[in-house]
Amino acid sequence: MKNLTTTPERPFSPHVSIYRWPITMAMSIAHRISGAALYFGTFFFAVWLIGVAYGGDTFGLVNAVYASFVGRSILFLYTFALVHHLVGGLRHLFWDVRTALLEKRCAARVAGATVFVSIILTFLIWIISYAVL
Amino acid sequence: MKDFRTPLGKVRGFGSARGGTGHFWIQRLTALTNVPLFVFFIVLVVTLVGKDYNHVHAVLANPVVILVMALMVLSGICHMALGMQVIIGDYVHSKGLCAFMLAMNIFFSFVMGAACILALLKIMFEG
Repeated sequence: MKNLTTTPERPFSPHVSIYRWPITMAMSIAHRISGAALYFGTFFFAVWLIGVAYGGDTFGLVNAVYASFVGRSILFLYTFALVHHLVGGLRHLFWDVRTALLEKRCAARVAGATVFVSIILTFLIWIISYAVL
Repeated sequence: MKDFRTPLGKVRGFGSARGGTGHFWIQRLTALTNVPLFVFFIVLVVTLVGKDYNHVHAVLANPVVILVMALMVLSGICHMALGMQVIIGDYVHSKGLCAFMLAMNIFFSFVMGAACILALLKIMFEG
């Protein structure tokens, strides 16, 4: 017998795929992607801590891998993901307590600013790191 | 025999699980605590770049540093487990696979958290 309580398949109205991406949407997606990247990046942090815990030889090995070109590239992206997620997260916290900031144009401007802020901070962190090296 | 009850009818009467906003709230709380903890971590790592093993070990063995790092691990792991739970819930539509991945999420988070905390303890107690 047909289940009368369920509605038949209905067409979806087109959504994500047809819109020009507003900056707030792009930043929302970037926030999620950077969050997922950081999730797996925890592994690199754990390996580094274990390296320190297990003595000079292990630490040297971890250091050598992380200091290689591939290692540095991954660490740079890891830094960018962390800073972007941090800055974007702060923006979300402000939006949570001051919902007036969600007004369309204001929100778009803040979301756009986080891109520049996170890029600048990421480069700053690396420039300072190389300077103190 | 088909089930004549509607999905709404099945859950009605059980009452709320009393966990409605828990996920949201803990996600925000850990987000807030993550901010100072990770800023500390970034500054710490920048000061440790290029330093030799003994120096890195000595800095990390400082009880205050250990405390902040342990708090960062706890807060960060909680935050990331909750976040990944939402991502899995959003994109994995097959019920079985979704349950499997939610379980994997918990396992991964616990393993990472335990590994970090144990490493910190080892750094602290072995000179």
